[in-house]
Amino acid sequence: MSCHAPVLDLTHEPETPAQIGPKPLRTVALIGPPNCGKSTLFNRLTGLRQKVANYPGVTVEHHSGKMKAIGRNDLTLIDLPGIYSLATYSEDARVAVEVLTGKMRGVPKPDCVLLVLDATHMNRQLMLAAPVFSLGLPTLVLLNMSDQLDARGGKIDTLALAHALGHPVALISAANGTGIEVIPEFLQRMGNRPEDGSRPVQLPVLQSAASCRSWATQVSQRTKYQAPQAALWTRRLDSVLLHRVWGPLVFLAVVIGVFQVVFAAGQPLSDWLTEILTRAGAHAAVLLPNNWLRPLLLDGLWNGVQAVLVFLPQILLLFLFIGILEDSGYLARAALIADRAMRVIGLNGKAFIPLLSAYACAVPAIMATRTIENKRERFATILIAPFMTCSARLPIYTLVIAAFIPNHMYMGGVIGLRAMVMLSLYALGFLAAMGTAKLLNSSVMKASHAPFVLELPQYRWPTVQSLSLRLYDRGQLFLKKAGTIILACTFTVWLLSVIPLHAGQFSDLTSSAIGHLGHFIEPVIRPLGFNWKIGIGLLSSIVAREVIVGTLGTLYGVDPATHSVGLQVALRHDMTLAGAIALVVFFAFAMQCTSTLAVVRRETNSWKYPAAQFLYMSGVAYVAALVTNQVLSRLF
Amino acid sequence: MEFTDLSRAKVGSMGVVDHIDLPEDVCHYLAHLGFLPGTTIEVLRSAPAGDPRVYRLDGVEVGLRSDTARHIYLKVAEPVGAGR
Repeated sequence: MSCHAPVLDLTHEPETPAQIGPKPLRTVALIGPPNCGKSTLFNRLTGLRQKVANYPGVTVEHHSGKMKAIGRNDLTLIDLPGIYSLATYSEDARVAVEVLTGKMRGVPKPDCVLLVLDATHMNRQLMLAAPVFSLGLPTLVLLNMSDQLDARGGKIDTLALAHALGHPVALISAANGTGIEVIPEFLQRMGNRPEDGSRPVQLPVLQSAASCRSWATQVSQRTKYQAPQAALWTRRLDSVLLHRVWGPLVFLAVVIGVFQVVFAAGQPLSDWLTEILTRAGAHAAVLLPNNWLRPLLLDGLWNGVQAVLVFLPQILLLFLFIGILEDSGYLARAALIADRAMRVIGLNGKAFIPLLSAYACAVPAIMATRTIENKRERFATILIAPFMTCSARLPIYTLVIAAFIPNHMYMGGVIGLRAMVMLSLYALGFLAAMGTAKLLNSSVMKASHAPFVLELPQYRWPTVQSLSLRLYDRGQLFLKKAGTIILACTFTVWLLSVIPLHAGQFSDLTSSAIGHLGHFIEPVIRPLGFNWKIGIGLLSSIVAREVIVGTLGTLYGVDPATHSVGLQVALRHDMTLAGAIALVVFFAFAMQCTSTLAVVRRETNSWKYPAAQFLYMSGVAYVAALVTNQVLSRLF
Repeated sequence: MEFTDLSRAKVGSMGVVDHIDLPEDVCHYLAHLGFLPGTTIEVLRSAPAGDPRVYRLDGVEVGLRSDTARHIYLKVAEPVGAGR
């Protein structure tokens, strides 16, 4: 088999050009078509954890990192978005071209390029090679997914290909790490001798798709490329997962199953964590001196942060499932099944990918809209993305559901009421996004003619490594947020709840600054079924949605009436069921996230859009919560 | 040899792209996914709702809506049996 040993074409090298003064190697660019395994390779080379998904369009901005994992701390690797060509129809391609030509501000022009291509379908992948070579940068061509190629009986003659391309070629598997030792070797040689082993070859003159295509086909024919067989398992699985009847049933079962497990397994873990953290707080209380320091540390810092921290299990479980669905390739099938519904509301098919990622967080989702060429459609997608239920809503949803919704099980314990309520809240956000899209579509946007093209990757086993890295990253992000923003917010709330001081003593809650503020705003939120503490929670959650849980933890912790009971119990005593449901409905719609507003400002380059979005979403949230409370309080 | 548009080609059939009748930016986008005159396309299956459908070209499986596929014209080469 010709494709086993990773071959760096050393023997077939052309005559070395005369040495030009040694220019130290500093910056290396990583480029390739979408879903070719570029991010996996980036992680291998830098040791950083870039999100990897079996889904096209994951890298939206360029990322960079030192190539630590191969012992080259002196080299910066820039990971560019996955693109099919350098023609600048989309924002992604524009970013890539600007970086490669050294026109991107703040990014040095790369000294050489690692071009990653998926070895399992070379004909198409090679189309990107021609425009990349024509940039004139030293380039190493990495044919990724050698394991897949071997397994499915494909063949590549790397020597012949290196000869035909005029650049060194190596077969690698970024997933297993086989063959990647050619990369440090290549870089070493580049450092020693500024000109690489490239030599002029015939490139397509007109860089149109058609000419690149016929060039690519010629090259792969000349080098006797044998495409691998179709992945049998993928075909078999798809005949079930995309079946007329089974497909939608499996889709529903997967969605319901995810929520069911997030609840059934997450709640006990969360309860357990609550107990541990409460006990830790109690132990600390005994050790602390009984003066102002104790309430400051316990009520001011610990209570609020602890109230948010206990939701870590649910967040991790949710991301574990998203990770499995994404890495396995099922998410692309889900998009295919859901496309029909998307079309009814006139949404661009390409909007599906950013909208799906908005379930994790709206910020990367809004950046992912850069793949949408049409500006109006892109802005419409940006405007509706924050309606998708992001993970920051999970803590308040879980808190209210656990406190107010009984744990009834139906259908022999398969479907639980709590999971169903949670699922309805997710559906509510989705419907709001759809309704808004429809509204925008009939007013602002013209009918779309951007095509819906969705690549269906082969099914792969999600690796434990990739999944655990995701969870680690998510967990770290969550903890960091709890330790910074949430800590600062809840501390401010606590501080305002004990001032002004009366003769050196803390205020009681109702006569404190925050009590006054709360009672001042109470008339506005009373019709929604919210008391003043919830009102303060809403105000503080404008910073970030999770903050409300921290704020409530602090406020109910300071209040002598609820000091010794848990947050769930305190809420149950202080709110009606109608008010509680109205609260989560409010969160389903409201725009409470300064990071999202900032990224919308950046991406649309105007304050107009985030301002309109904030007012619109808050308005919808207020009216929806009002209706919910008024209707439900008459029913129950 | 007959001409048909991609949206009407039967599941299981194969054809070679003859021409594409879409705006330039769309053509460009599709071209880089392999939809170019001369490419062989196989109709693999329909999504559960009947649309989009899944096509195979260049060893890649791609989902495409019928309202796009309708503008891609094929020379139908051979009907392919299920045992492929």
